[in-house]
Amino acid sequence: MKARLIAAVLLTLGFAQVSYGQVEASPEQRYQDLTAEVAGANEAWKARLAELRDAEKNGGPPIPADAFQSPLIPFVAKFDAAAKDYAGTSDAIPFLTWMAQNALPMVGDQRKAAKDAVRTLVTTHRKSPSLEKLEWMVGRLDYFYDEKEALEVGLQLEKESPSSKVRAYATFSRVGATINKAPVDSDEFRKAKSEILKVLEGVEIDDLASSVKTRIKMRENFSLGMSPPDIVGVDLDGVEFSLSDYKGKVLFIDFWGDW
Amino acid sequence: MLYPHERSLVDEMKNRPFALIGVNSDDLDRAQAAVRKNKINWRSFQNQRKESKTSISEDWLLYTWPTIVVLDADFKVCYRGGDCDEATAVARRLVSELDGKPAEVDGQ
Repeated sequence: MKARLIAAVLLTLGFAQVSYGQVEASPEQRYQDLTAEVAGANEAWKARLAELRDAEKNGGPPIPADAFQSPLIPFVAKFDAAAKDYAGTSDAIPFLTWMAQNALPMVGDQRKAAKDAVRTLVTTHRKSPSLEKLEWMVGRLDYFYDEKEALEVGLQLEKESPSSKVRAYATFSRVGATINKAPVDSDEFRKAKSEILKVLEGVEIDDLASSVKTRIKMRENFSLGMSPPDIVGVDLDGVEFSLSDYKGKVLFIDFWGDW
Repeated sequence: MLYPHERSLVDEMKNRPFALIGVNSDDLDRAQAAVRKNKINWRSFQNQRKESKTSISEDWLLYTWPTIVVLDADFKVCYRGGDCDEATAVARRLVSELDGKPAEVDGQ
């Protein structure tokens, strides 16, 4: 009896251990744990840098170059591994998004991983509203693809994304170059302008809307061969005059200051 | 500073279809002092306008100083940038096309 009891206890303990060994953190928990680790590494990095700065200021050695290296670099592989573990499912999205948002400014393998992450997000996960977090990346698909592929991926996003912001960025990705380069009096330019202004209506993306409108205004009013708006103002004696008073002459307009 | 070059350009273009117009970004006292000190011989707008929320440079989408814009007689942009020599060459060519007199070259 005693032996059977001991065997049962051992079996239970063994089973519990096996079970514990098999318990895996949920994707959400894994993401939280990783981001917490990142935050800790970031704080430690900042503290060390502050110490080195103080030491340098007080006559110590100059700060070594590697002290400036981003503490996030080692984490890219961890987020990448998690994204691969959940590949093809929505659980991968937060890990891919983290890479896109944090690893693009890096170099080498990390930047490559970040670019791959963006590519995966805008194709496999193109219907996810999370793509809104990619912002400019969706508006610059030519940074991640060659011209033909960027166009295809963008058109798919315009058609299938449930997010009006993502669709607006994707439209910008498709027509941005035309707005920047096509002759202002061409049908191509007019069509691109009308398309992008239409998708920006009612979408709250202030940065994109303002930069697109500024770019269009710049091209239509200030590029070579275009007519800028008149200037009406006062001179340094307070007398009102306008630039159009001088129409018919060649005007050399100098924006100057006494610096 | 560009003052000597621009002063001589204004003198060179006297009685020709040309005007050099400034848009000054300083506060008024400083701008007026600069005009006196440097014998500035062209008219300038004050960039900040009391009656308008935006300055002239903002309306003209201009964020780099100094910048030069050259307009032809039809009020069309022929140059926009920061290269005074290039702007001057463009202006001289346009004036010459307009009044039929040959364009002068710096130092001649």
